[in-house]
Amino acid sequence: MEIIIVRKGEPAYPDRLLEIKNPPKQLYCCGNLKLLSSRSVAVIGSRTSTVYGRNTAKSIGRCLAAAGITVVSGMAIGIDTCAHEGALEAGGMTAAVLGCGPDVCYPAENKLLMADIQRKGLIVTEYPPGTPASRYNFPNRNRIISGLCEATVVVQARNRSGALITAELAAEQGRDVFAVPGNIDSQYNLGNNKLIKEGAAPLVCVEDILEHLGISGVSEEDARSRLSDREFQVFEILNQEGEMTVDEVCLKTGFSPAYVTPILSVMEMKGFINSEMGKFFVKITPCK
Amino acid sequence: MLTKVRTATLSGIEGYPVTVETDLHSGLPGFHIVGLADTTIKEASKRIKPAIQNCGGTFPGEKVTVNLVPAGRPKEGSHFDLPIALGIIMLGSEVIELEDTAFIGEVSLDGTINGVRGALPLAICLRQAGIRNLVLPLENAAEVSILEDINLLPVAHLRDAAEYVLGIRKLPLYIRKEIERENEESGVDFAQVVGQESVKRAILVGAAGNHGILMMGSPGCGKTMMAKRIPGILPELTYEEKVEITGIYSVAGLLSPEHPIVNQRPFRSPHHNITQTGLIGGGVRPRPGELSLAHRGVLFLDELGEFDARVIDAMRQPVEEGIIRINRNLEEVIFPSKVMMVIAANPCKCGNLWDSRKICTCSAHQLEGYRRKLMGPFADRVDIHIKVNPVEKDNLMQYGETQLTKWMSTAEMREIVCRTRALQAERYRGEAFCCNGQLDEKGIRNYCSLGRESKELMMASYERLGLSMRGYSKILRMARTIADLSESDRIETEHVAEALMYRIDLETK
Repeated sequence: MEIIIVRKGEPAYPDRLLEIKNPPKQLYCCGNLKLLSSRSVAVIGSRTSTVYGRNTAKSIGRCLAAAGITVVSGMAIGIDTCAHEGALEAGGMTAAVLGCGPDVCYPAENKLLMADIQRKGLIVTEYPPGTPASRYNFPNRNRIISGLCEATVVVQARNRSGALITAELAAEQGRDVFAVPGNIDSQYNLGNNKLIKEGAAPLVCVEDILEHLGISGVSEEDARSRLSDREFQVFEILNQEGEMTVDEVCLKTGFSPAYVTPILSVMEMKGFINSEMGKFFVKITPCK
Repeated sequence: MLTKVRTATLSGIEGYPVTVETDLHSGLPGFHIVGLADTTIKEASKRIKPAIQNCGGTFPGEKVTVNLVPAGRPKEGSHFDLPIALGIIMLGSEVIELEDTAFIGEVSLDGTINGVRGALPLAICLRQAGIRNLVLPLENAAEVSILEDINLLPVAHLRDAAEYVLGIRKLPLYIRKEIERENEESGVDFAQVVGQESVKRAILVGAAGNHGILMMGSPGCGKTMMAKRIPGILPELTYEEKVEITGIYSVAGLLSPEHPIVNQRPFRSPHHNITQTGLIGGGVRPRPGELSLAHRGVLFLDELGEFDARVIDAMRQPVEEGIIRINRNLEEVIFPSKVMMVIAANPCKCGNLWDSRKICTCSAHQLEGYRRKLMGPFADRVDIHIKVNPVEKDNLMQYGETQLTKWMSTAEMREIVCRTRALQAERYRGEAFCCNGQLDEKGIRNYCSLGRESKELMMASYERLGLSMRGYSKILRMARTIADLSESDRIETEHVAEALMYRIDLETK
């Protein structure tokens, strides 16, 4: 894989990194360079984690990626890996910021994941090829993770986790920090819970972050262009009313269920509406 | 001295002819019945002796041996009393020609003839064996009168039967009453169901193509109410079907003098604590279970989640194949089980999960357990899955005011179902199946081809919903029925789209 060097001052160098205190002089990149300047959110956490933490990281990754947001993380095992995986599962974009050279895989067991990210996303590091992973590099690398992103989500962190350093850096850089609330008697959650205590926004549902970024799933113009007239007619009613059952749609429109049902079904397939518990509603967020 | 009397016995819900041979020979006085007779028949020896004596006859003082031919097949039932008693009475007497006459009936100690179980299937097999006259208990005459080409000679007392075989008197022929078509208005009509038109539409699809239906929704939203109305929209039973179903009920002992013949589609709603035997059938002498009692009708399982998981699992094969095989000593018994499966289930154990005004008290663990139980392989074999929502009070008012939406009534729905079923029967002439719900893989290939556009929709949903192959076939079968409902030869996109709405939802899966 070809390694591209992006120097400070070049057009490909992300503006967001220029805003931070000590921006890296150059970035060694491997993959899709556009991701440097795309809308992105960092999803980070400890290496030691619980199933809850890993699942949450995955679904946050999936949700962001499905909404077209680049998921940035550090490719460490645990939470980081899950965040990357979630994004890739959703077929979205993800970038890994390394604390070693762009040709070094650390940790080694993430070899497949790294190859996947190179192919579908982006590998970034400020260290030249061949630099081995070293514990002193990681805190430094963290400023790039938070610096590249509009917001940082700490999924799960122990008391003295590197993720807390990233969160601190993000706050210093004037970026938003979210923390996923965790079980208070588990030491795995001490860090993220402490962040909330200190003023980080609690992420109580995955969609919170999208709402914060001002992304809503379906726009009316989009619906008008991609739906047929009869479909749009039903879409508009659903949009006004919120959630409705099939029979309520029929009552409102005067159509028969045999007419309405296929329309709802097609709109669901096209991804404009959702159904849950027997009711239909226009998608607020494009992921579920 | 030897006499022969013809009768029959039951094996499952079918009968087969038996000849009762009675022989008197010198020896110590005794009475033996041989030929794989069960306990009820063995006990006949204890009943018949006093019965004959109480009618003024004499029981022979020598050795009596009764053999039931064919001797190698097991026989059961108290209806052997009458033929055995007559066989003894006829010993050494002049009798009328009995080659095409058969006898069934249970004898009381005073000689009264009691009704028996399974008279209709016995009569059917005897008729096939060339019997023209059947002497039977008065109680069973009405039920057997559904058969038109056999003379029924009902008897009330052993003396009458004895005098008949000895040529002393004739028995009056049973006069068939016109099977009055019980058009009694059962008082239930789909027009009474308000605000659930979408569910009624799904039920219409189910009834028209004979697809199973699973309704999921909070308690009190009308699932049971609608299920009870489903038999009413199915086509009327044919004569052959009536004979078949009445036969099953006859074996199960469920016919009464008021309802000697089943002439409406059965609706069976077993309680959820039913055992496997109760549902599938079985027992030492195999009896039909609820599945067979609902044959050609509706089997309604209310609260599927409350049924024993093993009981549900045992239904899988019978429902798919339409028959139940039960193996009991020496014999395999086959019961029919072609039912339209209608299932109601709550969304969770407490039932409030979907109700926005109530709070669900289930734990996550309970929800998961319930979901797993409900959405197992059995529910996967039910084509139509539909969610039922309670009708909001405000909407109810509105329904009363506006006549925008027309309520489908039972009569309208039945007309549509009959029309669609006729269409299918026409198309599947000469095939092993007669309606869309029974289409197998080959049938789907031959009859459910899609256009380009509907294929694209199918592919999109395939990816989006992660459909299984079985799910794919189910949707094609339903789409075929929906196309038939609108009398369209081709399956159009909207038909597929509607069918997709009736799939299993992943969120509850």
